[in-house]
Amino acid sequence: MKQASDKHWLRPEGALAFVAAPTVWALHFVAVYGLSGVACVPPGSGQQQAVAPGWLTPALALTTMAAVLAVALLGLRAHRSLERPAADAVGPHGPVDASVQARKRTMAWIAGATAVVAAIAIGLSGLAMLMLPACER
Amino acid sequence: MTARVEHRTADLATDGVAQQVARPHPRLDAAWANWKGIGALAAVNHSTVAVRTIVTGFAFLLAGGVLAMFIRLQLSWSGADVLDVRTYNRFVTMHGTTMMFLFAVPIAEGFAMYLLPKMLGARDLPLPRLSAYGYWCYLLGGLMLYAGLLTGQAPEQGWFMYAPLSDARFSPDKGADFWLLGVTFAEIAAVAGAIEIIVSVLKTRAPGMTLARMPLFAWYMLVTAFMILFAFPPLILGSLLLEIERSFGFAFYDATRGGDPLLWQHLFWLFGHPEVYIIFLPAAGLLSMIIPTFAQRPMAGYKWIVAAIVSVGFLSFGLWVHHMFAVGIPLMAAGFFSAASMAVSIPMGIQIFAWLATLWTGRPRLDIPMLYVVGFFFVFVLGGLTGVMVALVPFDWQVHDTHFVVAHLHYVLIGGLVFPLLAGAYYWLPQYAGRMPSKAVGAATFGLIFGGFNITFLPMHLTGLLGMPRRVYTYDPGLGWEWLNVVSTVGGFMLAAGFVAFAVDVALHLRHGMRAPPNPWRASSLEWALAAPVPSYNFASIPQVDSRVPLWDRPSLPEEIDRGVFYLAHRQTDARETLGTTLLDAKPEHVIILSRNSWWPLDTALVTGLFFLGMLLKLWWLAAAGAAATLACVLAWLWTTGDARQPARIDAGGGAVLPTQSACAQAPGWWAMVLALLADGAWFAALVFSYLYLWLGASEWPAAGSPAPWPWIALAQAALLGASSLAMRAACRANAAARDASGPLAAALVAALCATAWIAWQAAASGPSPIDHAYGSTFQTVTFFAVGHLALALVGGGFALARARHGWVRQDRPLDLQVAAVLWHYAVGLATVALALLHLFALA
Repeated sequence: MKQASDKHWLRPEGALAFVAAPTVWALHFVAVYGLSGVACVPPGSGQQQAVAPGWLTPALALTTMAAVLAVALLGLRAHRSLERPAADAVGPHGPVDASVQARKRTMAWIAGATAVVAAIAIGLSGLAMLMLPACER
Repeated sequence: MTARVEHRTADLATDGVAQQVARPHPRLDAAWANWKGIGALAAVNHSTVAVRTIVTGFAFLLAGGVLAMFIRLQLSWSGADVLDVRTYNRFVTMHGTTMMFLFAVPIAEGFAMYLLPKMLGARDLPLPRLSAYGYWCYLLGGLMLYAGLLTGQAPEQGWFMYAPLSDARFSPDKGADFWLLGVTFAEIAAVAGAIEIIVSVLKTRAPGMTLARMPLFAWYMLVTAFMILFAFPPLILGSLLLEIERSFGFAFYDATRGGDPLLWQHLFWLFGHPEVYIIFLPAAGLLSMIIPTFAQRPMAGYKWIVAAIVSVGFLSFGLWVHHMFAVGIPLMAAGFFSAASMAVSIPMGIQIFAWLATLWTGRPRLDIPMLYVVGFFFVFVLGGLTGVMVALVPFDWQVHDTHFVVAHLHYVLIGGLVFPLLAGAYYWLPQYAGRMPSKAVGAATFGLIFGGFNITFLPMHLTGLLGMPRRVYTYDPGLGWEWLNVVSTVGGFMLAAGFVAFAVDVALHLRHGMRAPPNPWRASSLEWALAAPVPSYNFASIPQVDSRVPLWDRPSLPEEIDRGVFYLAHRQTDARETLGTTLLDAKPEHVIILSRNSWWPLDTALVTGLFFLGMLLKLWWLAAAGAAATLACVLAWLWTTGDARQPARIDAGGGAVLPTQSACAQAPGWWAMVLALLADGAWFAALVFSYLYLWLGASEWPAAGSPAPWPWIALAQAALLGASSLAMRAACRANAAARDASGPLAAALVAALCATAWIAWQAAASGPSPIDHAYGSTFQTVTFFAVGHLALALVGGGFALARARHGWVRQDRPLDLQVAAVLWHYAVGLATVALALLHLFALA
């Protein structure tokens, strides 16, 4: 009775695919907030610094680029999955019924849409990095 | 019972429409009936528990509303003398606390518990005793909070309980204790409800109801419930740390000993901002069921809405610092939260436009529920727009702590929750009661509530912009605030009259409303396939669903369900049964045999209450006895699960011979354990965050004079724990291969017991003092956390061993062992992370 697709939760049409891109956003958010925190209050100093150390800007840029890339790949994967419905119509154990097919397309579409929202949210965080001083209050 | 069946089956002609004729199902009626008299307290049926939750929530709304009226009277004119300053502070604190913790979240979960099984095609929630336990915790926690008010010891520090105002130096009386313990007690219900809702949505949908066909309300509640699992633990942890600091002198928020009061704000708002969406999303789910019905077309943009819900669920966790813009956050960090606050408006806007598009392209009818929907659009959109304004840091600095923010939050919360709830109440009351609401009385009530609300809160935008601060009990004359406050007070009483009118309207409705025809609003979702009033078992047979709008695509469905065409129709048993299905595509997977009436939920909640009472009164023996009794009750409760006399497989009808949950790998009990551990993981993550936050702000860590960490000993302890995990794995494999699992299980218990005792002894004998500095406080708290979890895992493992000895764990019934193993591996993992944090990270 167990569905084959249940075992592949991270496929574009799987149970967790539509939370993958928002999870990337969350990890990026925690990373950039944490990095800026460590940069502005160096561990052991107990003091807020007025000027950020030099490593902060490249670290934030790399983190943000990695996050944008990951979200773009997830979105692309979902898009490709939507473009090949016929190939999935026959599963490893024979024909896949219409309701399963429709569910897979819906899940893949949602995964793609959440990737777009996550990309916008990461981009807005990137704007904050470009426009604002890191440690100044 | 006979009379009830006759009532249901009566052919009632109303407005020319015949009431749905339901067949008698005496076996189902008998199996699902609540006990009478005092025995009614043992009811676990979802409809009963949910209605109790909704009624209790409404009662707390009225109580909080009465407090608000006193607040409005006091502020109605400068120098008013209705309340003195302490009483005013207490009323403000209790008003906010009541509305957020005792009304908003519980009533939303109450609606979900009532509606979800009916919408999903299930006979009950999958863990009925858990939701009953949650209800009693909610009621007792709420009563504990109000006991403080009635005994003159109510909290007066605001609903956010900021430290250091709330610590033992500045608040030595019991007010803060009432808040911390009462709210935590009541929050057990929120977490229990969330687990129940997730398992219900994922595992008890009717066959054919794939995730893509699920009603939008179920999507909304699924995301909300996951948010609760991640959002409530930080507050529970923060409350626990504050209570430990108050009771035992630890240092978490005390800046003089290495603590940081801002840590409380972070933990509180890590809960507090997602809470806004936890409140809004269920209400939006109600709207997403009501609007298509009154537009008489399927919801526009179903996929868009699901994507928006998921996005909101995540983004709302990146907003918490926008409540802290004024505390001195570096500009770029504030910018991250401002950016997330902007980003969340995108999925929120998607939902608004999808609802408007549904109405635009449909044939909308204006009835009482739709009046509230229109009210929602007006009020909530205004609140959302001012939300975007306060997300901008410079504007927030201007209006921070003014009545502008009071106006904004009430537009969001009353617009986003109360209007949809009232729409939902009028929408589903005909099904609950079998009677229609009065249009005239309903419209007049709406007029009072809508008018009263806007007259109260619209002027507050102006009083705020004119500089009137929040949380002051009076103000000087001549500042231009008086007439605006008078208007707000008049509006407040009008709003209160509206809620009284609503209560009267519902009472009249229940007693004198016209008989409702079947599916009176011509809705599409499964709950309207049921007879009204709804039978306690919901569905005579569990339907097959082929569409997102099953009643519109298959009008014969109600009659077929009642005739027993589908699953579990002809079972000759007195057990309560419903169908478990697969997570993605809702294929029949197993039969869930549900608990019948039980005293365990109430008994367990009462002894849990003893624990909280002991903590409140500083009677540690009582707290310890309450904790021990709670554990004993939970074990006794669990002992009664999974009836070994039931067959391992059951003919569910339609050619499906299915295992019962004890024989199924993905049974509700297993899911509940996994979800509870997810919430527990969030709890532990909040503790790790607290440790790191205090580390980051400290000038030396470990604190001067503290003993050095012991990394090699910690590695040995972790290795011993790892060995116990391997032994537990061996036990599961032995059981799967039909061999005796007792040997490896006993070995796992011995190894873990030794490791746990070693960790506890080492920390007690050689660890830093928890009183002197935040380092020692967090060290001992993290250690206690790890030891406590290992102790629970030991109890779970011992329980599985006892069940195996009694023949309840076998190759074909692996559930108990699987659940114990999940808890075991999790506790070992948690303890390993704790050891690494305390001994390797601190050393580095």
